[in-house]
Amino acid sequence: MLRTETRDWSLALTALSLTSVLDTAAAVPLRQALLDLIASGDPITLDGSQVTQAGQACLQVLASAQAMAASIPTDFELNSPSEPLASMIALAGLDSLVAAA
Amino acid sequence: MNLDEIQQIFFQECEEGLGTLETAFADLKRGRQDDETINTVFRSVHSIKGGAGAFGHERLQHFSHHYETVLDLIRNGTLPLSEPLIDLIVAAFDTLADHVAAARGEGATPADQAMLDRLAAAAQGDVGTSASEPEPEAVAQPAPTSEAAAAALDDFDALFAMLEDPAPAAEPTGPAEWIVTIHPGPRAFDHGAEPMLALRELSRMGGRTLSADLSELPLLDVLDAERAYIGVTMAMPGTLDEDDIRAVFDFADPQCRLTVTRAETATAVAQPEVEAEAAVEPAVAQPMAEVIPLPVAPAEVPVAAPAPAPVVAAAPPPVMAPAPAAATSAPAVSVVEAASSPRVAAAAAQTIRVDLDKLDRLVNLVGELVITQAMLAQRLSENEMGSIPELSDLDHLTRELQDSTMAIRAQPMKTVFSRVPRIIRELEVETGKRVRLEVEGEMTEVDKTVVERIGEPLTHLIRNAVDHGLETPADRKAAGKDSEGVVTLSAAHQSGRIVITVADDGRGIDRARVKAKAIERGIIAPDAQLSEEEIDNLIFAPGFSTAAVVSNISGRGVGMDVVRKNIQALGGRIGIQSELGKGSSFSLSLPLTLAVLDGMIVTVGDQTFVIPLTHIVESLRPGIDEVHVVGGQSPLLDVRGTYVPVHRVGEQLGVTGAIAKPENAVLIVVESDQGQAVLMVDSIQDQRQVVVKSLEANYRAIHGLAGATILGDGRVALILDVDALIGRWRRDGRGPSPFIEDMAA
Repeated sequence: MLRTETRDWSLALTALSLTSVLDTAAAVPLRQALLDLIASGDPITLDGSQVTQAGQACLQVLASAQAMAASIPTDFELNSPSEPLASMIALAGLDSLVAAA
Repeated sequence: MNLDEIQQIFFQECEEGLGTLETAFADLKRGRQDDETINTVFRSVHSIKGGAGAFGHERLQHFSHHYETVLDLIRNGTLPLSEPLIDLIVAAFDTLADHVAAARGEGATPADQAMLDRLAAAAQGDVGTSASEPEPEAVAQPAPTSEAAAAALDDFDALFAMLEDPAPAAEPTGPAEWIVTIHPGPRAFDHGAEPMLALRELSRMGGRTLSADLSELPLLDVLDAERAYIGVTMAMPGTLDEDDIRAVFDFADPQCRLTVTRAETATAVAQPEVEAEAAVEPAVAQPMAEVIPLPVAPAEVPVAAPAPAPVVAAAPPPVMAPAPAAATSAPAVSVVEAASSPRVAAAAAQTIRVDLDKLDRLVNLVGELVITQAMLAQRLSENEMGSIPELSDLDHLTRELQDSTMAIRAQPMKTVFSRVPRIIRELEVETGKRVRLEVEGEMTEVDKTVVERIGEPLTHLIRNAVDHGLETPADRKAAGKDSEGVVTLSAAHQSGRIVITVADDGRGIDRARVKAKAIERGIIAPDAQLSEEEIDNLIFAPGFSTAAVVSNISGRGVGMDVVRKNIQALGGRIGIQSELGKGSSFSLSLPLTLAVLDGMIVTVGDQTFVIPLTHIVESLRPGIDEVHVVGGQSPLLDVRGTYVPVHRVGEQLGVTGAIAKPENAVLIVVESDQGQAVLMVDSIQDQRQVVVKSLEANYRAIHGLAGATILGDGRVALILDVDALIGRWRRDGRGPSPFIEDMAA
């Protein structure tokens, strides 16, 4: 699900590029990947620039991950959302996913 | 009900919608261009578009969206309805029907760019046929239809790009906006369903998202990634019809909870940051009238949180934190009250969709009841109790129950007739002829099986009428006729049967040419003497065709043969009336139902048979001088001067103990597609309605038998297939030639 993983140690952030298709089938692996990240305790930064399709299942995984990160608390950012991703986030009313960045 | 089943309902509704459109276009062409007709067209296309969006049929949705754009401009008076415009929207309808077929997997996706270009040009007032201008800016449309967005629609993902251009805000003086809250059911993702598609459709209609309801969203560690948790509140333009908004969810997950309410004040929706809570309140305050749970299973539906937690830019993660605990504390207002919603009750009372298997089971059981009732009557009669009033009541009730059950299966011929205009349009293009279709009696009802199986033969007849029957416009003018040919399609009940007629005002059957062709093809002997009716019937002979050029429309000599076989398989008969130079008329006479038939119960030897009453002309006991034997062949009965061949049913079906001499037997004159014939039986027992039991389903098909029935005494009686029997006897040479009667006369 998380296509590439780059660690920018200078920022001590975990930067992850979301895969292009975030459909319902992608929600289970996305949830697991985000759980692993949260468990690592590192601040989380997601790169949404490659996303071409996003459905509600993955959006609610992201929203839930953001809420869980906040409860720990751990930083959670979704950066550079592609236009399709940004559109679906806006449509689902989840603007805070991006606004928090 | 799973998504596939819901989608099947969508396709059924598409079919109904297409039928409605076809009817409306006929009205438009007849000059009935009132608002209601235009609105009907618009609503039907809009409904198809909504369902297409819900199921992700992008091409269908894309096309119907642009089609709808033009229809909306007609509806609101921006585009005056002219004849070229009607022609355009009718042509676009054909493309829409192809898109629906493609979505069902019944054909390739049509190439629609040319039609889209024409629609786009029409939206700008250019109704010519060669529009090549780029699609115009949306004219007074709620949804953004820029060319770029339209082109991108082929790509599923690019659809999302359309969302960034919301519709203009509602005018302060217009009706208050609609506040729509949507909570997908927990299984909303099952079978690949995507709730966002419905939201996207709302967005296209001019909606904008106000807030998300995350109150049921658990933290990630306990979240089931394949279950839907979040709800959305959207504001929709107040000018929309509430039904149009709800139509978007016609095919949503059955457990989806939807509320549609008017915002109380225009200012509430003008300020998104403020309105989120305020606007939702009305939905909570008056759920009784507004909540529509699409078929709800209350026990399974999670508790609704009536006031969604607004998520706004200024309120990052902590706002989203309220998770399962909040959800469980919320009262189940929506679901409980929805159950008593008068709107739901009223809607449910009107129609109900029933699985056909269930209906057939009911029909079958009623058939068994009829048989059992007959057996009971016989048993009581044997014990001299046949006249008790309860038996008469039971008979009456059984018959009424049977009629009512059959009525459930009855469908109007409209479902078949509505496909004909398109066939005519295609034939016009292919043949260059001009055709006006006139339809009568389309609301005549007939059993569903008949409706389903009549389509193909009817199509053949229509094609035959246009291709063979009607002349070219030039020939018609030369013959002093209107250059536009008329094909009339009618249905009517006659004597307990339905008679469907396809008539044309074309050239009529050229009998000399037909006979010459039949001789050339070896179908008849060169010296055969045929009546006009017999010559006409030659066109149903296998391998017969008079078309000089075999086209893909007709002329292969298989169509009419198949037509007759199909009609016979339905227990029907086909008749021809034709006058040279004036036209032809093909009449199909079919039973209203295939489940029961009126029959004459006869005995032959130790067997009992049923002869369908529709074939019987008369029955008689002949005098000894009325039966003649010519040249050692089967006997002939003198029926008022015409000699009709007599078939000994017992002898020819191998029944022992049958009466051998015609003068001692009962002769039944029947009408078959081979002309009249006489069936010789021992005696007539009764005349009554019998329940038809399929031999194919219960045993195997037997040539010459149409089925079986169970008599009151419990015995099985076979139902004779008169056409097949007489046809076989004549082919086998066991009966006299059909032409002997003419010679004898």
